[in-house]
Amino acid sequence: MLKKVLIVDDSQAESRLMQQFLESAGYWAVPLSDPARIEQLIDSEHPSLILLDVVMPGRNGFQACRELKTSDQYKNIPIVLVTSKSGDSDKFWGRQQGAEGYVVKPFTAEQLIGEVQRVIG
Amino acid sequence: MNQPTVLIVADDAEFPRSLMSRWAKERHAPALTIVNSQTLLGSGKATAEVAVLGGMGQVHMLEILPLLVGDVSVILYVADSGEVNDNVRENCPRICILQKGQGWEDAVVALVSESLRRLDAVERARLAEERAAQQERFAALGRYMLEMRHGFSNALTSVLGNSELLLMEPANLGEEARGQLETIHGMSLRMHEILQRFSSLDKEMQFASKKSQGETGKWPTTLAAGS
Repeated sequence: MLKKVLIVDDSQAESRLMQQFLESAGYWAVPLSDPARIEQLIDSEHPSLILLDVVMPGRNGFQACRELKTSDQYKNIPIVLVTSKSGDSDKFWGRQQGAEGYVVKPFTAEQLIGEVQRVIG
Repeated sequence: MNQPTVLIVADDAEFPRSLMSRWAKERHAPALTIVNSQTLLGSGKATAEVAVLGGMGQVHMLEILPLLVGDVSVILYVADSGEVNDNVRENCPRICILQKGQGWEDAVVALVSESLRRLDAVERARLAEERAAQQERFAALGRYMLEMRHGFSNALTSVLGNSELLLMEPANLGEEARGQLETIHGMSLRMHEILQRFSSLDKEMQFASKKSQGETGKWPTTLAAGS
């Protein structure tokens, strides 16, 4: 059975790109552009992993990650932050929010898939 | 400022001789140029920071003043007699007039030295302002680049990623198209490297800024955050 990955990114171009990379590597990708609906999609799709953009309107990725990781219901779903924020302090802050992985944009297919495989195999 | 120049204009040879003899006692002397009024009038222009006039009649003074007014910052006139022609002040309102008396050479050297120090300070301040304005322009450019980094990274993600996707299925591409796509992909990776170097530079500059402010006891100000 294919592992399902929820992609949360307000940019359709980037979301579609990640979807194609994941599908080419044998994952089932579910894109979501509205970060306010993450919990709703988790409930309906039961993903094995969430790829989460950071700079998004309404609810940023750090905030969403923190909220999911402090929820008993969702805290066990691994999260990989995918962002153009490349500073060491950003990566540190991402880990502080509970993210299991971090990919800096722009990324290659190898980097994205490598990080996904590292986290969920 | 390069070595400052003082122009001594005198028709009486004793005037510059006395001044040079006095200046020889100073540790630092400016470059002195000595001319008489006729030579100056013949050349038609004067180039110096300071001009010292003396040992000449006031009629000659009035002839040479127009040559000095625009180009010389400080004009000092050592007057022989007690009265000075009103036309001298009218032609050059900022002329400094010194009555010749005992110790006049000391007074001239002191006045010229102070004038040169002041001119040097003004020039240094002007250069510092110019440098500050240039730094501000560079800082504005840097802030703009930082603000653009997020958008640039996102755009590059699409260029890099889509070229990779196309290259994953090379059978769908002609040889020429594949070569062109490999160039796009390679250049995207190069841009990625440049962006990373820019981020490293930003990090180093933030570190240097914090260190410098720490040394002066000031709190670091918040820099524009990367996106």
